[in-house]
Formats: sequence, structure tokens, C-alpha cells
Amino acid sequence: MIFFFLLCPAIQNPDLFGITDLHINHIAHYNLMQCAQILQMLALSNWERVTGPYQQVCSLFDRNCLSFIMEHIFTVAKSSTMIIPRSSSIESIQLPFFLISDIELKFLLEYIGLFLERNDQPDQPLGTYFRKLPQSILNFEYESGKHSIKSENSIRLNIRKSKSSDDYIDSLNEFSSLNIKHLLANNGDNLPTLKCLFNSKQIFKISNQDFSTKFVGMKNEEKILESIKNKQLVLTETVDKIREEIDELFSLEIKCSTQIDDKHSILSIDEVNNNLSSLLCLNDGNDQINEMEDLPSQSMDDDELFAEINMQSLGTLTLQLGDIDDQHLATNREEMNHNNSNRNSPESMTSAQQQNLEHENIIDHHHGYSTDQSIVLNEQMNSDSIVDIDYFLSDIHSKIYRLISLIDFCHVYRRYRFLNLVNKNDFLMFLKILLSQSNDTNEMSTSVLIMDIIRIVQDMGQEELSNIFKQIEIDWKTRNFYIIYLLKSRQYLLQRLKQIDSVRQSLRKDHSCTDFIIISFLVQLILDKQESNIQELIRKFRDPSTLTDEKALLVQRLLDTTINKLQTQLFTDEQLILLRQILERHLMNRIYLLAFYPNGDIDKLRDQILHQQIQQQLSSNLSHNSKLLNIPIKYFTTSPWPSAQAELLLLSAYKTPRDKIQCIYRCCSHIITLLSTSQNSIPSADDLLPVLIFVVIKSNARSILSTIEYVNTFYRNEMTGEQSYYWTQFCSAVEFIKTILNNDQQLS
Amino acid sequence: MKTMAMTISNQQFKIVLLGEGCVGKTSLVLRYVENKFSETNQSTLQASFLTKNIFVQNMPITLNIWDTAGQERFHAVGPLYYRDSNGALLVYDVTDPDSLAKVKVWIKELRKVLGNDVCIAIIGNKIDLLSGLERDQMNNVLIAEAQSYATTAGATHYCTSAKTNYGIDDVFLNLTKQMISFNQTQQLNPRALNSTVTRGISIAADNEINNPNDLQSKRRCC
Repeated sequence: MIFFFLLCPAIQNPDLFGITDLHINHIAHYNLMQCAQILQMLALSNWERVTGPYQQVCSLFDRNCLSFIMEHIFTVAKSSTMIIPRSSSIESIQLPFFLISDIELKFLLEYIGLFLERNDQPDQPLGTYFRKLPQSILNFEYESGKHSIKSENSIRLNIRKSKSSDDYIDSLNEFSSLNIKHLLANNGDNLPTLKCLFNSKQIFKISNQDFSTKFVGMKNEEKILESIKNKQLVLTETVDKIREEIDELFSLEIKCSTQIDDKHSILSIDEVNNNLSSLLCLNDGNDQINEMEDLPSQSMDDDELFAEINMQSLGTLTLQLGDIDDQHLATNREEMNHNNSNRNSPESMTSAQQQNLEHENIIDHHHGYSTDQSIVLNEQMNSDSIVDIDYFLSDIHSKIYRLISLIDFCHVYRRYRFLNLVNKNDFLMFLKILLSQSNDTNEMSTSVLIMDIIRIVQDMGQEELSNIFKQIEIDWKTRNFYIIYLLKSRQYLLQRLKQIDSVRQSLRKDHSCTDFIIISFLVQLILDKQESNIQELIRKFRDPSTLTDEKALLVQRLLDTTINKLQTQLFTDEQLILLRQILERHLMNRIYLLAFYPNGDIDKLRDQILHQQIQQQLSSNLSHNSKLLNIPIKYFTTSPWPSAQAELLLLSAYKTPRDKIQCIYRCCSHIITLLSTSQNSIPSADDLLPVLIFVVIKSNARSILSTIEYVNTFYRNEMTGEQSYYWTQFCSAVEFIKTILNNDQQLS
Repeated sequence: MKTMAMTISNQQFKIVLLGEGCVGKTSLVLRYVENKFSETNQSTLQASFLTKNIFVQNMPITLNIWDTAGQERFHAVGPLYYRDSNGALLVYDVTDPDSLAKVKVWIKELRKVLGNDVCIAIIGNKIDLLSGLERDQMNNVLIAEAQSYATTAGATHYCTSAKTNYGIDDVFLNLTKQMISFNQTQQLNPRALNSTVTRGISIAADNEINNPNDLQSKRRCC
């Protein structure tokens, strides 16, 4: 099989497969074909009797020689690819989720087991981790493994990580955290969940410290107040951004999963899960905070009590947090859907249910969380300085919060800086300004709220008012850490997004590669059927009475008719273009010599003369500071533009005019990129042309003149925009070289 | 793929940019395409081939602006660039008489290669360098000469400054309008139909109608 599909075609058409740059003529082609056939026969000789004319040849070889060759190839390949699987396996461990079939998983577990037995080092982190894997998972995996042997193609998403994250939730159980720590030690520090875990720990520590010190300093109240507002806004902004982020991620994922065909979609689901896992991490982080804040204070029973307190004071933050959590929930649910959609076999349905339960757990926690956050705030208020605060104050407090969340406070305040908001009268005035603004914009709910606040504030003394402001400041401080946390999460999400983007890119590349291979195969089939037409074309090309314009037309017509015979509606536009390109490549390959050197040896001679002249008169004694070209001094540092020269040398390797132009285009853009790296320069035509001439002379590619003729004959009318510009630059560079050579000759 | 679809739907015009090395054609075109004038910090990679998408008379237009090497020794290869151009911008430095002389040579060459099929605009750049009365009137001996030459050569004349961004958008807008009306007359003309880039000969009349107006308006603003 390998011989049939990979090696033999490559031997037959080395030029098409990019093994060599040289043009292969028909005789060589035929010889290669025979070689390939013999190889094919030999490969099959173990299973089939060799017949026909090859019998004799084959008898010269050892029967098993090919399998030796193959073995050799494979061992070489193995040693060269060894590095890759290792790194990829590490990556897959680092991923919180990974895609694995039941059988594979079973093998993996068995393999780890074997590995451990053999090594017998109990203190190895892998061993500890393996032993501490929840027994349930092991059992479960084995069970489902058995099932899936029956229905072989049922592929299941194994969400190991989410299970261990449930372990978090269950507990602050040493077992699982140890577990994770070992894994961490094993893998470096890349487990996102763990990061979150540690982040949240840190946050908690800091916040603890801060609570003890928070009443120490309170100096310039106005400033602080302003900054409260600022931060408040930042908070809402970040919340919004994160929300957007999540939306974006989600649409992306959906795109991903629908976009590509079967194989790819599985991969992309994997991707989606990575993604979701990052969300989950967020959740985990939240939960973690939850638990940690619960833990020191009291047991689960007190939760209910908290909930009651909480009912009274739902601040805006809570609302916002609630929103986030809703978002999380939505994504979680989506994830479940994803999971469900991937489970076909009934036995895995049970596991889905199991997971549903787990998710519900998480959801519960989220509900708990939004409330808990405010509980904590409240609790601190109560426990510290504000024991005497009454219901009335907390009411106005929450109202001010709500107002802040509704209005672009910061922006408005910028215009009324002269107001000292801590002063009661000024504060009232500011409120009135806000009121008039909200009336202007017809925001009824806002203005009602402001009026209410005005009413309350009017009844209050200066003392109470400043108390409230102090309160707000404290609140802000407590939230500060959450803001940091949100920012970090956002950063993390952005990183993920980038990562996903690159994965998508590579998937797209793979996709186009498969397209290319499939279409190449198709083209070969098509061309076999078109053989008579091709012969006709070749005959016409040989006929000296055919004009060059006609030749171009003939090629185009043949391409058109060939493509029109296919059922074009089966292809996408991109595939059609690709099809045409490949078809063109094959066709031009057949008529290349006829088309490239229409006048036969005369053309070859002409090219050769130019090549020699450049070699003798220009190339050897030309340097980048030559007066002839007058290349600006600032570009000398990038001389002699080796990548452009290398590109140009490939010119004759490309067969179709399209490819040749692409080659020139790349060459020019190499030059421009290099030129633009030198300081303070935007290379214009004045700079490009001399350098291009230099590169053409130095690289001295073969058969330049014929190339120009060839492209102008077959591709001139299809050139557009940039391509045609750089092609013209190339032509004029060659033209210039010709004039120099002529002048030299006249002088001598 | 996308770019291909775009280019098909848009009307495309090719404009060659001619002028001596130091007349500031690169700055001029960069000012127009990217609205930049700065010797130091720039993000533009290159200025040799630039495209600009604009809307003129509710039509999406793509301008392909071809920079050419202005040095004397590359003069011979010029005709390769002119091929299929719809418009040409010839730039001279209002403080440098030699650059205007060069412009005249190019116009002759353009007419030789393309006949009347190309819309030509002569541009006096660097008017910010003029001083005193010349600056106030935006006129000097050289500009007057260029204007009179433009009328005889069937071209339009503009004064610009890439540094102060004076008059540049007008140049491209008017040239584009000219090319569009050109294309329309040429589409009516059956003779031109079999060439890929169709052109008409009625431009001479067009120019005669347009030019006095343009020049008058120019003078008024000067």
C-alpha cells in the first residue's frame, strides 16, 4: 500500500512532488515509471506471483529485500520523529481536557501501570499521581472500554480533569490537592486550573491582611471618592469585556466545530473543550474563593443564615457577578450539550448523566457564589466598624451603588470637579446635575432613583453622609482584589483565544493540504481521459504555423472545456481555483518545452548567451557599491539580499506562468522587506529597481529571456495589480541589463 | 479569494507616477494613500506599489499607483511601465526648473506610447518651500510655465504640498473623475471594445472642456 500510494507516484513524477527542480523529459519519465513498476512488483512479490516481462528482473532481487528497505526506512523515520510525539504527549497531559478513545485510554492506563511496575520507584510523581487517581475513574474507564470494543467507532470525550476539579468542590481534601501538586511537579507549572487555584489563594491571603489594616488610613476623601468611582467603572467595564470575551469565544467555537469536516470537527471539539476548560477554571477559581471564605468562618449550616442577610443588601456588584455567573452557567450548559451530542452509545449516556449531576453541582455553587460574595462584604461590615449602621443607611448605600452602576459617573464628574462631593450641599448639587441629565436623556428609572437619593440625603447630616462614603471606599477596597482577578482572567482568556487562533490556522493549512492532494489525484484521472485532446494540443504546438497568441488561447480553451465537463457544482470556489491551477500545472508540464522554447534551440542559445554575458561581464566584478546601479548607501547593510537571490534561482523550477510570477513576486517582496528593515526608509521604486537589477545579475538565473516571453504569452491578460507591477519591475530590470551589455559591446 | 472577488467588482485604474528622484513623489503618494508625512516613524513597508480604494460618483474605484524609478539611467525602461496605464501623474519641484524639463520629456514619451488614451496631470510639488509674494499667490515663473505647458499638452495642472497636505486629494479625485468619464466614452466607442483595457480618443475634447475650468478654479483659489 505504501508503495502504491506514496513511493511509486513520487518516483514517477519527482517534479510534481517537489523532489527535484529539473525538468524531466519523456524518456526519463518512462524510465522512472518502469523503476516504479518494478518496485511495486517487488513489494507485492511476497503475496502475488510475478508475471510478464518483469519476472526476469525481479528474480535478480531477494524476495524480502523490500521489506528490509521498509524496515530501514521506518527505523530511520522513528528515530527522527521520536522527539515530536514526546513533546506532544506532554502537551496533551498539560491540557485540562483531552480527546481519547476508550481503548486508547485503557492502553494508556495499562501502560502507565506497566511502566510503574518496571521502574518500581514509589516516590516518583507519576506513580503517586496514578495511584491517587480516583478509583471510580479507573473502574469506569475499564467498563466503558469493554463496551466500546463492541461498538468500535464510538468515541468519547474523556473529561478527566473536570472530575478532578469536582474533587476540588467536594473538598479541601488533601487527597486531590496532593494529587494535583504531583501532577504539577510532573508537568512544570502549566495547569491552568492550578494557576487559578493559587491565584485565588493569594487573593484571599491579601484580602485577609487588608481587612485588618483597612481602617488605618483615610486622608484625602475627595480623591479617594473619585478613585472609587473610577474603579467602579473599571469593574463594570471589565465585567462587560469579559462577557464579550466569552461571547466571542463561544461564537468562535461554534464556527470551528461547524466549519470543518468530520475529522477536523472532532479536533475542534477538543479545542472547544480546551476553551471551556478555561472557563471552568474561572469557575473553579470562584468556587475556590467560595470555599476558602466559607471555611474559616463556619460550616455549611451558616450558609442559610447568610443567605438571609444577603437578601437585604444586593449591591450592584452582586448583580454584575450574577451576570457573569449566568454566563458561566450558559457556557457550562453548552458544554454539556456538546458532550451529549458526542455520546451515541447508551452506556456513555450514563456517564453523561453523571456529568450533568456534576455540572449541576457547579451551578449550585455559582448561585451560592453570587450571594456569598455580598455576604462576605456584609459580614465584614458588620464585624468591623459598622455595627451600628442601620437598615436605612444600608439602603441609601445600595442606592448609591445602583446609581454608580447606571451612570457614567466619572465622565460627568470631570466637568464638575470644583464640587466637593463629601460636602453634603455639593453632593446634592451634583445629584441634581445628574438628575437633569437623566431627564434630558429620558431615563426614567435613573431619574427616579436619583430623586429618591436626593430625598434621603436631604434628611441626612454631614456626619452620616461621610460615613456612607467611607463605607463605599471600604467596599471598593475589598473588591479591588476581585478586579485584579478579573483582569488576570481576562488576560488568560485572551491568551487562550490566541492559542485557539493558531490551532485554527494550522487546521486550515491541513485542510488546504488535503484539498490539494485530493484534487491532484482527481486531475490525474481527468487528464487520462483527456489524452487525445492533449495530443492534439501538442501537435498544434509543434506546428510552426500556430501563432503564439493562438497557443495561449488553445491552452485556456482546453482548460475551460476540461473543467466544464466536470460537475462544477460539487466544488467550492476555492477548490475550483485550485483545480484549475493543478490542471494547468499538469498540462503545462506536458507542453513545457514546446511552450517555453517555441523556437527550439534558437531560444536556448539566446538564453545561454545572456547567461554567459552576465557571468563574464557583470556578475564577477559587480559589487553593491557599483556606480552603475547607484544603490543608496543606507541599504548596503542588507546586501547581497541572499533570500531574494535564492528565490530567483528557483524560477526555472516552476512550470506554469502563474507560479513563475509568484516566484518573482516573492523575490521582490523579499527585497522590499529587507530594504525596509534599514533605518528610516520606505523603499520606493527608486530603491527597488537598482537592487532588483543587482539581484538578477548576481543570481544569474537560467533562461530569463524565455521566461519573460513565456509569461507574457500565456499570462499577460490575467495579471492583476501587484503581481503585474512586480513583473514589470522584473522585466525592466532585465531590459536594463540588456542595455548595459549592449553598451559594453559597443564600447569594446 | 476575497481579494479576487473585490477586484472584479471594483473598477480598476492604473496610474503611473513619474518624476525625478528628489521631487517628492514618494511623499506625495504616501500622503495620499496613508495620510502620512514623516521622515522618521513610519509603519509603511514600501511605497513602490500602492492601492487606494475610493468612492467616486457612488462607484467603488481601486487605484493602483505604480511608482517608477526616476533616475536618468533607467529612462530606457520607462515604456514598460506605461503600458495599460489609465492615468499618469508627473511631478516636478516648483523650485527646480530641471525637474519641469524632465516632465516635458516624459509627457512626450507617454503620448508616443499611449497616444491620447491616458489622462495626464502635472503636479508642482513642494509649494510650501515658496516664500514671500510667491507663496501668497502660489505662483512663480516655473508654475506659470507649467500651467501653460499643461494646456498645450492636454494635461491638467495642480499645485500641491505633501508636507502640508495641500491639494493632494483634489489631484487624485479629479484625475479619477477624468478617467471614469474617459472609460464611459470609450465604452460607447465600438472600436475600443476588442482591447482588454478599453480607451477612447475623445479625451482631447474632454480635456479642452475640463481644463479651462480646472485652471480657472485653480487660479481663483491661488
